[in-house]
Amino acid sequence: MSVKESLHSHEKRILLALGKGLSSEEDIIAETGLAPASVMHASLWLYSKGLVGVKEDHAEYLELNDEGLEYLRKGLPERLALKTLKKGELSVGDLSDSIGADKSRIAVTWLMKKRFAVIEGGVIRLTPEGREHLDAPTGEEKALEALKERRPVSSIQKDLLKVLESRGKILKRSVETKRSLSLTAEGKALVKSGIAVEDDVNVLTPEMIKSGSWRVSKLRAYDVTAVVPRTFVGKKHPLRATIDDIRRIFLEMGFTEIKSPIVESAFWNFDALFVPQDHPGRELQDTFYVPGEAKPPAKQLVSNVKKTHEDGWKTGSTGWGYEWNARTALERVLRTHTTAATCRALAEAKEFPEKVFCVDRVFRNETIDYKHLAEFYQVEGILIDKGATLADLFGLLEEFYTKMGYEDVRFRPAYFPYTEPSMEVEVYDAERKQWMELGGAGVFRPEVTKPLGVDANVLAWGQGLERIVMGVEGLRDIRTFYRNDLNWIRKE
Amino acid sequence: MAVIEVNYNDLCSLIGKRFKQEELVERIDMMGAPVDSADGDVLRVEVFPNRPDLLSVEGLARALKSFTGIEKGLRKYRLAAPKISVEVHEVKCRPFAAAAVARNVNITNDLIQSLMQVQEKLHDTFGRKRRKVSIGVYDMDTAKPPFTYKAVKAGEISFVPLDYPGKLNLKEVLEKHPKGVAFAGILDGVTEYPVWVDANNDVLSFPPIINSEQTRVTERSKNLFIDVTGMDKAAVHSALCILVCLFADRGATIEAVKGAGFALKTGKMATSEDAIKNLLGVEVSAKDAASLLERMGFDAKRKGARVEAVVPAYRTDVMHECDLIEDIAIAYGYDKLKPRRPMFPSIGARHPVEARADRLRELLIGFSFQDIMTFMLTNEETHYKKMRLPEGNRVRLSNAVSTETAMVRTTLLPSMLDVLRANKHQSYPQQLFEVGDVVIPDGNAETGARTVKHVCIVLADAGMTFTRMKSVAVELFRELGKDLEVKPDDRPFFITGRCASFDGGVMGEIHPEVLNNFGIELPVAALELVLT
Repeated sequence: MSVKESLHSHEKRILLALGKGLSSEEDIIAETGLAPASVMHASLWLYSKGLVGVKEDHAEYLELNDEGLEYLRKGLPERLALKTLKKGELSVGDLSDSIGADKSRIAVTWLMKKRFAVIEGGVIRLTPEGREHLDAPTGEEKALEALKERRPVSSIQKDLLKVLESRGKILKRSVETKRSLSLTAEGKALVKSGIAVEDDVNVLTPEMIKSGSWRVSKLRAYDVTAVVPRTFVGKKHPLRATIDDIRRIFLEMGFTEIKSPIVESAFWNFDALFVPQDHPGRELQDTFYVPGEAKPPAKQLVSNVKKTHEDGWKTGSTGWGYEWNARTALERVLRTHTTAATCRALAEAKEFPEKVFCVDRVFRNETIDYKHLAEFYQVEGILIDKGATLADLFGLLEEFYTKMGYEDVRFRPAYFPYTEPSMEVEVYDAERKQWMELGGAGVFRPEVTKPLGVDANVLAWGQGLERIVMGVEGLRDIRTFYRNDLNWIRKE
Repeated sequence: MAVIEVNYNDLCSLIGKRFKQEELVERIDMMGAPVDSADGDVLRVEVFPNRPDLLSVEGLARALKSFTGIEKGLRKYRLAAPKISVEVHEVKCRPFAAAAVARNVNITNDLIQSLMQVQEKLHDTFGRKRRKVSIGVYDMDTAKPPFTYKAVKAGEISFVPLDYPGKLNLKEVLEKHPKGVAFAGILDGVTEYPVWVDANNDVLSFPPIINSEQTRVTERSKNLFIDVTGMDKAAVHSALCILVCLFADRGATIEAVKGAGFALKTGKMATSEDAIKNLLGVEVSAKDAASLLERMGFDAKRKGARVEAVVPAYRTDVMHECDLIEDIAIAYGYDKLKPRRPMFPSIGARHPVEARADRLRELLIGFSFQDIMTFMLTNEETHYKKMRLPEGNRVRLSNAVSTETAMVRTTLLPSMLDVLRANKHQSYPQQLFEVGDVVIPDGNAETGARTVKHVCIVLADAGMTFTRMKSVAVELFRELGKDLEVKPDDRPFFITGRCASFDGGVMGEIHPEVLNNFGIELPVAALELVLT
């Protein structure tokens, strides 16, 4: 195939444009009507075929960066200070109150540096020079104004540049490359010999297929290695994907999904779980409270729970030995754990075995940071049956966590107010070569089950979700899940 | 959760055996007090709230000594006959007080470290930040017995508190001393304050705030007076018990105080072979159970198929037979208890609401829309003001730490608009949805509010219109087996004339002012639907 035959129609158009005497890339784009990327692409091909020469000119540009733009828009810190000082003398502290501590620190530095003000006994006093500039712009302000828009460095006066650069990082430099093309001797000869632009066919149309015209058209070869635009698929949120995996495991194991109200009574969230009313977890700094009271549960239930807290009732326990307050139990909270849901399920359980689970959101009065959320997901499952034992719980947990993909599971003694025995579940992280705490488990105390009318053992386990997924995804910031950064979600 | 720092060498010397550090950590873990970290000789041990006796290094060593089989059974503690006496008067704001004496105390650096730590940890956790229980330890030889616990008026008495250059009366202590400022809240509304004084009416301490400088414990102190005051008699006695045992473990003679009403009383709890099998699922003979309990620091005797245990005075967590069985399980070893493949047949099912939510998510992902999860806690600014809505009926929080989380959302749309704002520099189109819960106040509901599942879709792109949203809605309804019947409607957050409502929902083009409020720069069409 000759060079001429190998030319793509884009290349031909560019050659023709160059033949007309054009050279800058911009002009060629305008002349050929091709997309900038196509012109660039085609000219590189022409270059590689030795038909055109490419010359690149780099021009340096200067513009204000975000900080610079803010200075331009809102004024330099010392201008803010001057405006404030115009109304009278101020102490350094007053200035800080008036324009903010950060700004005032910068402002004072510059006022002194420019000899616009002196500080005497903590009071800022303007110098004559400072007074002169109360209404007149400073050199820097003029320079900022001059750089309102991006400009080539070559067009900026040297002294102006110096002023701006002395101000620290308020400028952004960028380089723009301009390309111009010229025909080589070979290229010139080719153009002279005549170039016919017959339209290559890009798209195979229905008409072409029907009419058979495809036989005479030339279907252009694509650059199959070229970068293509991204296609965005719809996906489950990464957290949702894990939630659904866990729900599926529970369902496979024969558990029924339950839900409970988000606005919950202290009774179901705490009291029925044998959490004493002075327990630190119930304090305002841990639990979100909602004004108003919930409707009281059935009288018998309230009485059972009251007596159990006070002296153990018929549970065989000593109880906590304090006077239980029925009103405190009616306080409304945002549920702090999914155990509130399983607790309600316990009270309703009639036939055994009963197996229920809950994956839902819970709330804690936390200041949100990279390690803490005020709302997050918990996973919880319970199995109720006579004859269900700790050994069965261990078996259940092994089954559950194996399905979750963990091979080695172990149990370590732990404490929860409503289970006894209690344990932490740990799984072996082969990559990090260490045991990792995943969740808690235990057998509900008789002080929880008997007042709710359950005469059977209740095996329970649960865990938080976000931290586990963080480990799997290698995330350092727990807030990532709720930022919904599409860049992250689309990549996950 | 309390974490105590323990020196490995001190711990080994208290146990009386030098364990390899790794082995010791593993034993502490399996005894039920996870070791957070080991940094050189310093072990950081997490102590669960049911075992305040492990908050002292001495208590931890005691438990380990029996757990590792070096000294099994109940360690005997005896209070010597009283040599001094106290008078405990009625103190309304802090009614319970107990006291004891430790003589011939060998004050070492390890002891002082341990004492400071156990006081701080007991105060913080078991003592509910000193409100329920607070502790004082004094150099007894600096004061003249008998001592008196009584209530006095704020200005009635002055003393030099610890770490303070001069005398203060009680009111001044609360206002000027750092500890006074920190704990004044406990005595809010009190007119007569609790004090311990000696025979000269010199102040020993002002519970639960601060001791006097005069009675400070130093390296030269020999005989110590220990007091605990508080709001709960059992808790006061437990705390004192933990302290006196600590001194006894360090070789001091512990001594009763006349009039203090404190004695070291062991408790009783029994269990049986059947109960153990019923809870643990393994056969443990009464004889073995007794031996296992001894490893946990109990005295235990077998009586037929029953086991009767003597519970140490500091083990106030033993409230029920199951607490005893847990200790048997711990001594048996969770690692040795064989898991049983559970055979409890049942048929599982999704919750109907979640099953519908699953169906919706599946459909919307089929549209290539992206699943989003946002916070349920929000604020009026985002939920109403930016949406051009008046404030409506909602669940507000009484005690939110942040103004960002002042209320629970009643609709999903504002959070979705926030997500669009956060992603305004990402590529378009952005087609997002959330299937999530909202909370609607409802006087008829048991807790005064209902949790309701909503679906929200937002479509953002240059040229996005109502038509596109409606075409999605039509398909969605068709897939759900329903016809979409819309009628023109109006919402402040949609453009007038470009909003329609339908069964359970509303859709439209977001009002440009709302887009400005959220900082969104492209047109958005949205739909919100109640999932019933």
